[in-house]
Amino acid sequence: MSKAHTIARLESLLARIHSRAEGPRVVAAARVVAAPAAPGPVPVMHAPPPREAPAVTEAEIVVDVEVQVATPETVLAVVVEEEPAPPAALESREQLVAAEPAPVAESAPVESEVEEEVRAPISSRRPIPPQPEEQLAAMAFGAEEPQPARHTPPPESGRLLAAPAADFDAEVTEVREAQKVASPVPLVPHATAAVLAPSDVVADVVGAPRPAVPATFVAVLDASLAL
Amino acid sequence: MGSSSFDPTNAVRFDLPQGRVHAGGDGERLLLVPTSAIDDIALSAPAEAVEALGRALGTAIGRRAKARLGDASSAPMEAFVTQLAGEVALAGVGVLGVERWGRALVVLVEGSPLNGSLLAPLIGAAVEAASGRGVACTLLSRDEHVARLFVGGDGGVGRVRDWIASGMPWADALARLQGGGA
Repeated sequence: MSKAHTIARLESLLARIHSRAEGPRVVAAARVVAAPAAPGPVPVMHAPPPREAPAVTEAEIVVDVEVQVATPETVLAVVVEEEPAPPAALESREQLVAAEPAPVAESAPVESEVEEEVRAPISSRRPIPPQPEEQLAAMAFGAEEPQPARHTPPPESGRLLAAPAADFDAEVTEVREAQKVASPVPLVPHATAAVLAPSDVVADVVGAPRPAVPATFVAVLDASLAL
Repeated sequence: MGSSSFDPTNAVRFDLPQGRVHAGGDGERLLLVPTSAIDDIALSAPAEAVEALGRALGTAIGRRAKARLGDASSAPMEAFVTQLAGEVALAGVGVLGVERWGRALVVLVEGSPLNGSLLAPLIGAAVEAASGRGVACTLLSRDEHVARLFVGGDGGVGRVRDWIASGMPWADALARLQGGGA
């Protein structure tokens, strides 16, 4: 390996170090905070430096080590000082439980409630709110005539009156037997005889018989002349 | 004849060349007189004259009816009334009918142009001439269409006339005449 070639490789390596030193520093600090810490106060200056995997896997490890030690340590120290130190008694699992819910997790249930309000059951008494298009139309052109409720109320539910137990036995589902009637008593005629006594006065004539109509006009005229 | 139907064939004969009108089988001469002239006489002439006129008209009608009946004394009621009513209709007096109110004989005349003062002696004379019995007649009621007359003896007709003149309804007068009513 020539000297010029070595210098060129060093320069390219230096450029890579500079480029990598810009982005992943914050992520490395977060990882330091979330990592389980040892009990007791942790001196800031003695915090272990983050290890960059690509830097470790490089073939020219001797040259890399010399450069990495000099550059990122000061930046990592500043980031660690801004994070509050976790309690020494808490484990990493407890930290996850005690952590406050993220704002994103709070917004999700609200959306589900809205969907539930829109999708009311068929038997609900509440009318379905207008669709978004209808709302936009109402905002643009004004409210139209009030529309009647889309759903009629469901029938009244409740318990029905059952038939009296003496009249109907609900458990019997077969052909029912009629009540047995006692055999009738044989019919015997009861005769009643009238008592009729002989009598002389039976007929009663009322009034006089109607006179015969005169057959001729002269007879009629004579009757009228006799008045 | 004694027939129950009236035969008007040749009942009136108009002799135009001679200017004569004849009625009946004996050829009694007739005179066609306007009813207005008869009304004027009935309204202006004395009551005896009006009655005499009415009886003369009725006697002629009754005589023609008797000629049709033959033996009027044995003629049935319907036959007598039919022949008499036919002659009354030919004379233009009206439509004659008979009612019996008990024993009282009542004659109805519908559509007659004659007033009551002339119609009562006319009907009485017609029945008398047709039946051969001496009868009296008085007017019981008269409206626009029907005149109702009682035919009887002189005594009965006189009482009924007096009762009606005193304000008694004619039906009650007939009932009273026969021993009933008030």
